[in-house]
Amino acid sequence: MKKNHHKNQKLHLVFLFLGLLASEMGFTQITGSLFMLPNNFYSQIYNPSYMRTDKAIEFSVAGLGGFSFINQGSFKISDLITTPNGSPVIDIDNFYKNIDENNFIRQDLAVPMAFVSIPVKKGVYSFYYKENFNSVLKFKKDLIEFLVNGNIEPEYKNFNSNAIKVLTTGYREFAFGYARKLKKKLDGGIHAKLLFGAALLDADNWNYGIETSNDASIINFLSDGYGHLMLPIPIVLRSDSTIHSIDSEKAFSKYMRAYQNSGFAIDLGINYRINKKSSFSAAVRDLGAIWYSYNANYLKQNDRYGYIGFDMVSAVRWPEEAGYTDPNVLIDFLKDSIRNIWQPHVVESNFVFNLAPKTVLHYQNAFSDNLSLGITNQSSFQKNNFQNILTVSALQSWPNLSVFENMNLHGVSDISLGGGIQYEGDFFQAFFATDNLIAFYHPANNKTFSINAGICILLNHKKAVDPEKDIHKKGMKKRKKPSKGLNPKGNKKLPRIKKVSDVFTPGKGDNY
Amino acid sequence: MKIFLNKYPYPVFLLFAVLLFQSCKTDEFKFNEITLKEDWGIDIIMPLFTGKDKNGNVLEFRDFIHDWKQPIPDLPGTKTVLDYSNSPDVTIPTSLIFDSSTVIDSFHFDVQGIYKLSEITLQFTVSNSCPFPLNLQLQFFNKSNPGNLGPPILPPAFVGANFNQIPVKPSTSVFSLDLDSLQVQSINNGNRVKFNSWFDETDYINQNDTIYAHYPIDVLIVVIGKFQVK
Repeated sequence: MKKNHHKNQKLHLVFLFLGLLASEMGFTQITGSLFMLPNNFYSQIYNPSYMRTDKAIEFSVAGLGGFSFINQGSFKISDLITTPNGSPVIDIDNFYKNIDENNFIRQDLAVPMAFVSIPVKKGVYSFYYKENFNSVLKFKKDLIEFLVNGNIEPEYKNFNSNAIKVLTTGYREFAFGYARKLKKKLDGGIHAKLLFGAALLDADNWNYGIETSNDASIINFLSDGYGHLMLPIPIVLRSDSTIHSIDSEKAFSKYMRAYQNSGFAIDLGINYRINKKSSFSAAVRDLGAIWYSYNANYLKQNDRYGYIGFDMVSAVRWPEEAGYTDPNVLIDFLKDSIRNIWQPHVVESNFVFNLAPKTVLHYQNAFSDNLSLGITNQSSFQKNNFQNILTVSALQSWPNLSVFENMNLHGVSDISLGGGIQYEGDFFQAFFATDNLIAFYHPANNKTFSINAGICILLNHKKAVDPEKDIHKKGMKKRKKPSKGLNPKGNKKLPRIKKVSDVFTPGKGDNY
Repeated sequence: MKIFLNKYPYPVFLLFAVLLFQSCKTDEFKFNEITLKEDWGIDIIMPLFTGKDKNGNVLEFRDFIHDWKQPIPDLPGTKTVLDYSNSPDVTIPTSLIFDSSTVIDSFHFDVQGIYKLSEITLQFTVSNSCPFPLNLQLQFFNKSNPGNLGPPILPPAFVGANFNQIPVKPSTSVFSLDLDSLQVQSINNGNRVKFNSWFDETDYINQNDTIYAHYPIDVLIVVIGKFQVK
């Protein structure tokens, strides 16, 4: 019986792993250092087990809620845009020399439009509404080859772009969360998320090719690929089901009102306090999918056209002789034929889009009242690979202020240095974090950078106190009056710091 | 202030460093300032004009004699009969064959948008089955001044077939013509092209007063050049 149970567990793990591999492109991490701050409202969004323990209510709305932005690529913008004479120019040759065989660039923008966290007797309820917009382009060096080498030399007469992948998604999530203490040292949390897909373009393994005959009497244009498309605005099709135009009138308004394609996902998280100084947390996010049925289309492209030049025969013989066509019509036909090579056919079709599961693993240790060190690993699983960011953080804490620095390893080769700051007053919390400070000064010379910033309002939040100062005052008996906000009734309780340590994360500048 | 500095020395230092670095901001540019590198271009080879259509029809001797939309001029001198296979023969002034005629007066051709061609070589490949060397000349009309014709682009004559050998085999000539800057400019600024053609006289005309109209003349004009953004 026990053996069967283990076997089932292993099977579940295998299926979970296969599920992760089968998912689509991955997105969305925040600066790893933020997981050092369990009372930070972004870290609570990205790890459902994180919560405040000081009974404060948090809320934020669009504008205050800030944003999370990531730009990540396998190349630097300065590889593509150079300034040889002081003016920025697109330098294809330099780009070709500096890029890898396999390349990608992605941008990810997440904007919390509303966030609220309300403590209850045994835990914390939370809700947030977040807009997500992601874009990824993956391409091989072959794509640039034609732009650099052309098709004159014999070795470059044939060209194939080879497996271009484009994924652009816009979706919103409404998350209902609950976090609570499960055991003395263990917190757990869950987000159940309603998802609404607002836009999607998923072009998978797209190939464009050119074949030149030896005497250049014919050039074959080739294209091949498939994918999915969903737009909240009308697509006007030609009779051959290629896209004629897209009606972009009131596009933003229609995007924001697109709730027809729904989905569901869950996030799970735990936070385990190993001892009074160290803790470990983990989260698995975005286990779910969006079902696209409204304006959902299947894209397909598999065309070939042989271009032999402008037809002089019709130009000479039309209209005197039967069987020939007006050369101007032929030119239009030729242009359309070449253009159609690049235009996919669109067929209405429902589809399911799996979100890319992400994991967060975090460990931190307090070395003193003011200094903690932590290590965070964020992974995002894709169809054929996964993206990984390993962050080592140092956190300095004061009663109202937290300052952190981090070193980030993106994948296996790129390192960035970042940092940030969080201020928490009586009535609000504000933070700013980045994983690449240098990018602010040399944005084009950095492959990756992220920015996270936001403000949330705190209600029922007691003013934090510098425990050292408080203890000192009590020890010296210089002041009989109890500390403001800590012990308003003036009873002879021990200083609040002890209680704070017990609960580990009491909103006193994360100084545990 | 002093208390603040003593209390938060590290954050104050960090803030100071950020402000200091802010003055060192580099590689800052606006998107609308970005242009394509001036000397960048794609080296391309592609067919430009073809004398063979997708149905297998090939240009013939008769096509290079006269623009048949126009009436046949009444010129003095000898006459030659063009022997048509599926229609009545046509008698023309012999000089019409050897004088320059506009066979295509206005063929739409436009390097559109923001692109241009440079360092152009036109490669002419002509397989001539008729008994006379063929001359083929191109001129581009200026798109902003339609009455303005660009400089002529004229390769050497394409050798005719040798009718002294039986069976008669077509002669294939390949000429590459490097265009000068004015010719390149006329292509980039043009929107239509005019083709003129004529044949060089040989003894064949003195020995024959009837010539088969359908000798195939296969023409391929390939452009080799750099495709650039203006």
